[in-house]
Amino acid sequence: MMKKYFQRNISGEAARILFLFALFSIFITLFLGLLLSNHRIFPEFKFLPFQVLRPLHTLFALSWVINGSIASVLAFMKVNLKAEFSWIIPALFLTSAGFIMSGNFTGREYIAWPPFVSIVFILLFISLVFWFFASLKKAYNIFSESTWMIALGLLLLPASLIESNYYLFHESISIGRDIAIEWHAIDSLFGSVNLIGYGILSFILRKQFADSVSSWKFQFTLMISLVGLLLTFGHHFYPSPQPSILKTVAFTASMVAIASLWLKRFPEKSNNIDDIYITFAMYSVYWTLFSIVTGVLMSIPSINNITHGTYFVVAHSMGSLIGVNTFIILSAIFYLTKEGYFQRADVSTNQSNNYFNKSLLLKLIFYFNITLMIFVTILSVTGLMANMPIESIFLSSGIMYKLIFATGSLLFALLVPIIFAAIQKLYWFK
Amino acid sequence: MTYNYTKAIIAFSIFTYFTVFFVLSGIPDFENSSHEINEVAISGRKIWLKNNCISCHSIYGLGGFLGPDLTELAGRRDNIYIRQVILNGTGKMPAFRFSDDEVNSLLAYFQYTFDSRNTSR
Repeated sequence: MMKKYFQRNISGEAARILFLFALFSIFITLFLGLLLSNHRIFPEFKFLPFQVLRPLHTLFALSWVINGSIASVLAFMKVNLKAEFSWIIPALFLTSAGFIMSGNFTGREYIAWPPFVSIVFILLFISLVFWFFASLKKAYNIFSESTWMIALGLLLLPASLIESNYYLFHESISIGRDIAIEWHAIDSLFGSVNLIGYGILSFILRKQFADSVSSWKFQFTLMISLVGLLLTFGHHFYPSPQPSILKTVAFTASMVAIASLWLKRFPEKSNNIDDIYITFAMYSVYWTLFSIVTGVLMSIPSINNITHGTYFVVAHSMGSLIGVNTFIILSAIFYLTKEGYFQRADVSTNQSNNYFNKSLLLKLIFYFNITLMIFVTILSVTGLMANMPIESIFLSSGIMYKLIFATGSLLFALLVPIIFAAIQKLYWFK
Repeated sequence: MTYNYTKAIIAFSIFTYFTVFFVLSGIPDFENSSHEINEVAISGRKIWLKNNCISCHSIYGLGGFLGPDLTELAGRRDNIYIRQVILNGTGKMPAFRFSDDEVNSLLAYFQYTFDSRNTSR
């Protein structure tokens, strides 16, 4: 039935273009990440100034999750988008990269491209919302919950970009309000790609979770999780000048995220080597657990006092972005190819089967996860040390930064073949 | 029934999102009138943004961690020291060719962020 759903009356070219650009983006993100960590160890070696490298790094990370998420939406929800039109999104990201490299940045966190690029992005995302609702009924009958999660994610995408440019219209905005709105916009942006991601994941795993989605427990926990997702930004402004009532609400909302653990279910491991997408999905669920636990820990004021503004926050975001979003997008690519979405008439199944060794790929995925675990542990320890007396012994000697660089290099080396396997999947189906 | 319930969840979530945004953007500034941002500090913030200082430094933890958080810089260091670091750089930080007015604006911005610590929390 699913093969028919994915193969009937569709052109996978738009999704393929966006997936390919997403894979290109994660390659660039990791490479720039290595150059950034190199700045700590060899500050005299300057390939590009740090104030250019960092926004470029975050831009391509956003490009990875946004392009991957939109490509997944096009494919899973069967949104009819012409391939020529899909090039606009990669073109906008490349234009933004050009502006950042030439020193034209907004100086804001993550959304560093000029405001007029944001306007085009916003118009494009609003159009996408309309196209999505126009094709809603095709996917809705298969799994309504994931359809609605994706719908909410798509609605929040332009909303968060509008919010992030609020400061342009209020020149004398106070630092407290500016920071509160900027954090809210950033978290809404990541909240939107997370909602799309989890919508896709629940679509992929719908067979395994079919018995529980209609239960009141699922619905209730989903509601609490979604509301928590929209309010968890609050822990960021414990140290900043906000009214105490806002901090109390933020703390309460962050603690609500614990309820999502109730919803947590782990997919059953597949013995079929062709089901690599389940392996990716399984790891994304494990990393979601990590993301929730570290997020809740950081929301406890006494712990936040130690972790805020340190590498512990980076560990949380790396674990979430690489562990959750990356594996969901890779799972989507492998699932879609299995279902025949990118089927090419000129490539036979036997021919395409020879391109990579599946058991080797499974080993690479396993070692990548182990390395990622070591990587976030090192980042967490570095973050926790920042406000402790032992900081001067370890951090000033540079040992921790060398470890970050070493494990980051290993992550890069392990992810490159996985990226190539995904590209092969996109072009030489199965 | 399930479908309608899911739609209600989505509608409630969107309502929550926009409520939070309007509360954040609509409430009066959190600061005492003596700590309102002035024209010079606004110029300082523009210089801060234009040079992407946030890539290495943070204010209230928002930004990069390569350099120190600068929220309380004006309380830790005097203006002469800060001026020298901006104009001459350090081992890790590059020198910035700012005019006197630009440096003064940045100093006013740092003074403003330092003063904002003592407002309602």
